[in-house]
Amino acid sequence: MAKGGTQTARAERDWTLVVVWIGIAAVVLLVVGVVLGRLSGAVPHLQAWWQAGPSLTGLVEHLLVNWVGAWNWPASLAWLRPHAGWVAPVTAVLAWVVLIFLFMLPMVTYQIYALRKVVGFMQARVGPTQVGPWGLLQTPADVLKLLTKEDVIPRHADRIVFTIAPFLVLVPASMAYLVIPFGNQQVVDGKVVYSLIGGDLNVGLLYLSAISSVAVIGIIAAGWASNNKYSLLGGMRSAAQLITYEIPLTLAVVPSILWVGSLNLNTIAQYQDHLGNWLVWPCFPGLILFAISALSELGHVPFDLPEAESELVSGYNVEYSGMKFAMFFLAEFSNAFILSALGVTLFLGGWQSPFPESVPLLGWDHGIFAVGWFFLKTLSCVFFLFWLRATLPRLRIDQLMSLGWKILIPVGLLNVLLVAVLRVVLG
Amino acid sequence: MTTGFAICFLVLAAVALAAAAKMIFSHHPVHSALYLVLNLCASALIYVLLGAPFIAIVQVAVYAGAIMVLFLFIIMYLNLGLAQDVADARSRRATALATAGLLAVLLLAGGVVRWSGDLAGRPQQVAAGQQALAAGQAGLPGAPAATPDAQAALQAARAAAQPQPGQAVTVEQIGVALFSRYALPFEVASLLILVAMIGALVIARPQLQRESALRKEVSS
Amino acid sequence: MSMTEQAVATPLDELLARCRAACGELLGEPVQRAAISECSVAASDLRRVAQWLRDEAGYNYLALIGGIDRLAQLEVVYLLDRLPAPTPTGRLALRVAVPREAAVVPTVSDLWPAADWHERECWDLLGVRFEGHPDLRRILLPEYWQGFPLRKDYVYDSNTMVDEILERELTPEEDHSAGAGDLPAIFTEGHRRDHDGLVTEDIAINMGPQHPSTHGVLRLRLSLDGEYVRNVDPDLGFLHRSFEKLAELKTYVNGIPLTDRWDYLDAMGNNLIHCLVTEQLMGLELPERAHWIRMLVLELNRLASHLVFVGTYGLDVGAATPFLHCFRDREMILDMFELLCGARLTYNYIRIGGVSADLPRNFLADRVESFLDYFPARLTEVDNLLTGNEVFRQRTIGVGVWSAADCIGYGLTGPLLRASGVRRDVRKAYPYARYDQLTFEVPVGERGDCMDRYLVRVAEMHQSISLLRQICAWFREHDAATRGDFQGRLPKSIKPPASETYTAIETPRGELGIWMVSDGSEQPYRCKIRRPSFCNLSLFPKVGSDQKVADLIAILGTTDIVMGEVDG
Repeated sequence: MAKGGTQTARAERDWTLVVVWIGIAAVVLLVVGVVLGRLSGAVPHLQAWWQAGPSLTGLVEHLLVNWVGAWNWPASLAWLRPHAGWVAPVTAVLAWVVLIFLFMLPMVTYQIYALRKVVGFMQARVGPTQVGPWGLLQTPADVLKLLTKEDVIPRHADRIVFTIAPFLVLVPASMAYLVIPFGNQQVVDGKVVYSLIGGDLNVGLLYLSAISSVAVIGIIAAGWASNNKYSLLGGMRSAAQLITYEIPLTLAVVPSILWVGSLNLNTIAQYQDHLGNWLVWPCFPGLILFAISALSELGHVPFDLPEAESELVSGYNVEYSGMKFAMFFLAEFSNAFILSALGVTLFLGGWQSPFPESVPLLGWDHGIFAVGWFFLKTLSCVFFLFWLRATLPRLRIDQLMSLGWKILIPVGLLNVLLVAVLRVVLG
Repeated sequence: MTTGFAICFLVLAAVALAAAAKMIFSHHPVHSALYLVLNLCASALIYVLLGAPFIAIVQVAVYAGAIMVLFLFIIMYLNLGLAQDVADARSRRATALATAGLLAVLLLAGGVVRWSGDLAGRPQQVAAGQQALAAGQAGLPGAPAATPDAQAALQAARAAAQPQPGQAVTVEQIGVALFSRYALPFEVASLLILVAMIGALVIARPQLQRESALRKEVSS
Repeated sequence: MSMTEQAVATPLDELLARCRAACGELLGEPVQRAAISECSVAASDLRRVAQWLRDEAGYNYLALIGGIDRLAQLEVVYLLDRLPAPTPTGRLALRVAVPREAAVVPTVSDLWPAADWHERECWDLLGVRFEGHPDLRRILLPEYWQGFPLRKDYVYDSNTMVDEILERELTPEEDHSAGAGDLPAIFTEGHRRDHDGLVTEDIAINMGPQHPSTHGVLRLRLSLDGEYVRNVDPDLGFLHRSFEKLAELKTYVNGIPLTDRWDYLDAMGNNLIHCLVTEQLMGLELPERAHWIRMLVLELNRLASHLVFVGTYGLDVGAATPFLHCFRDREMILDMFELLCGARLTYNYIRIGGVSADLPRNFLADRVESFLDYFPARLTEVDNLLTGNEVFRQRTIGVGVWSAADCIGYGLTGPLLRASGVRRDVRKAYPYARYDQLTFEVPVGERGDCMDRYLVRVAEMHQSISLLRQICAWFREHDAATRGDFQGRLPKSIKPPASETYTAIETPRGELGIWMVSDGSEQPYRCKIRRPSFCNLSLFPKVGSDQKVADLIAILGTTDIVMGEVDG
């Protein structure tokens, strides 16, 4: 008991320290921000932006155009002066960076924590308990550990490709967040009041599929460049699997597009304004197809052949360590979130509440409520993934291939036809 | 508008050209393939600049995401190493250089004739030139031929975009163009792909049969 | 005991008469030992007699080949038996004596494929050359080893040996420093062959000794054609600790802790076989309670060992959850053993003449019986998690089908043999302890595939539960009367009379036996261990080729090898 007591006391002290440090950091940042803002005269611009409707990209654009643009630029550099024309792509990039650091990293970190806790529970274990209360700081600690680890590149590996490969996997994974509708977009008189979408692309769905298909190159390159036969086999398997399952995945989303008549993810989400309008009803086979193909695209149990540890040890990333390994790891979990979010948006109403608008509280789906519904649904899907991970064994490569080519693709094509006919018949 | 556009375009064009050059002169087929991916992505961004996000995304999805993945897959499967390539490359280099040079001259000539001045006003031609350039590079030995449907899509995009230069081409416009004015070329292109697929099957079939027979022998 | 000898003498005489009629006067005078009949035969006649015994007398199973260095000559013992049920003669040993300087014996690996690895081991450790063996390489020791350790005149000079090993020229396979410029090395090796005009290349893959699925330090050299394994060559000996040699250097009692390290998942069984064979040599009688305690711990250990199998097999096909559930339940058994003897893995509990300590008070009621109430439902739960799963069924049904003939020929025993439909269990065939007083089934499979090998083990666990219930019932009746009487009376020093014998028991992995030779001293003269994992693995190169990599792992998982035992 005495031993347990001291341990608890130590854990609490650690936790207090963390809170204190976060508090200090917040205060310092606030002070620095306010002082710098006052000194540089940016504050009026901040106020103007706030009045214009507080969106992230809006802030950056506003600051660049109205504040930096108003500086006294020398004539020789005048052509570089920020103006509404070229600032948009820059703000998109900045918004992306901010999204990654503010959202993706913590999200993935705690997704891993949740996985360990949930699977631990299912496997009669306790999961992380030691770092922070309930082990909450375990995964941040792991991330830090990975970041500080030695970066090993095997002899005879192709150094350049070996180094680029993790980026080829992580960057697409992080770019996908841009088009996910986390919530609604409030537009008043053609002016965006606030937007909970990074970039409201008209071809959002196509963008996602293009982005995710590029990641395969990173996986193949990683497998090849490691100069390890296990990695090579893992890379090959990944490539074969990802190429195979991209087709049924695309076929699975087509019915939703057909039904709504748009490739814009937010439009699709807006269409499903209550439970009766959810696309899962007309496109139910599509949801099943989507779930199976998405599992395979993720390399998730029971399709985790590329990294089947009992056969290939770890697959394409077997030679990776430290930061680079962390990048693959981040990408994997981030993709799990994105595909869950995509499934929710396409079939399960996106950020919309299942109740009609008239129901108080439960029917509200604007602002924070929309984000709440979105995360509730998406995280339920992520939980479903964890559950599968604790339950299912792994398929064999030929079984996987025949499932993809002989069952999912024909069923997907039939489903597209069916939904098209239904759409025409029902108008 | 013009300055920002020009800066972005020049940077992207430089990246695309450099990647294309590296792709040709790389010693290893895997490196070449990765440079080609870079080239394709850079040209996709140029399409975005030109207000054709749909084409850009299709370019990435089809070329970088599908065709190049298959290429890398095959390169790795066949273990195309550096050693055997060097011997081959000498004989091929002259042909490759000649072809590339000829293409470059043709494209430049075409470009000079058609651009004649306003770069920003007629962005579609830039896209066409870039696409043709990429396709030209792709036509070299060891690289993919441009898929006809993507070219058709490009033409359609051009056609659809022509009424209002500078504005984004919507998916609807492309769809309408593809299924009305360009329906025949589109279908012909898909027929071509079908023919190619069947041809590949016909060539590979006896091989497969012999292999499975051999496998049976081994197992019995 | 003497009555039994008389009873089985007649079938042996009859067998010898038939053999003489068929092959001529080839067999020497028969010797009838406690449990086995034995004949000597000249090396030149071995093959003829062996062939007759296999084809006409039904000895389809070669249990072991053991060499004994008698200083004047080398002797090779072939222990034969019939599966599934023994012949009236029981186990039959053939003894071949050859001169030390020219120790050459004809191979029998074409008659019993099991002889392949046994002969390699005998060559490796004793230097008996088997003429006509297709692949007589060293099997446990490295290729560059010098001398034959089990010969009595072998001197191990660690200094010279280490120097020689360090200074020897590396084989190309060992030499990892040979890179190929800036080209990944995978492109510079591999076997090219013409395949219908298409030049393809097999990838040579080294699986193990550090690999998650080789269950220890097994190393497999695979050549892969895509996802297909074309050739498997197991490389053994990474965990070779020369138990047979060590046993000769220690007294009978001191040898028991060594046995814990063979098959560390079933250390109780290992303890038992060592004590059993020593007791048999000495003709010791045990108190009744000792037998029942032994059976209790044996069946508990069988459960623990099969739990490890079920869990790790789940891991092999990609399911992680059963593993942890199995280990949670195994933990309860280990806790019981800890109460019994203070150890959780290497028990050293069963001793010559009995066991080291009596059961703690209330051990049965508090521990064993409550476990028996709790465990069956858990077992069914874990079993349903796997067998009720479509993915698991697809991965195991029809995968790795082994014929009964192959299993018998390669000397497979235990659940592997039974999964192929051969109903053979040493507890039934040659009962030891008090197994003849218990009722239990011997579950067998129908198809002989991975699923059957899994199911047979689960069925055996249910049988063990039933056995434990019967043992608990015995204790309920006799506990008070026999308490404290767990160890027989032993002489001051344990010196079995000069003789030899073979005894076997049924461990979770199969027939674990010892051929023990005593010269009347305190140390065994020769202790030849029949290690079931070693024999079970010998079929693997045959069944592993032309499988997919994933199936290879699924098949290797079902062999449930323990490398401590394979490597000896």
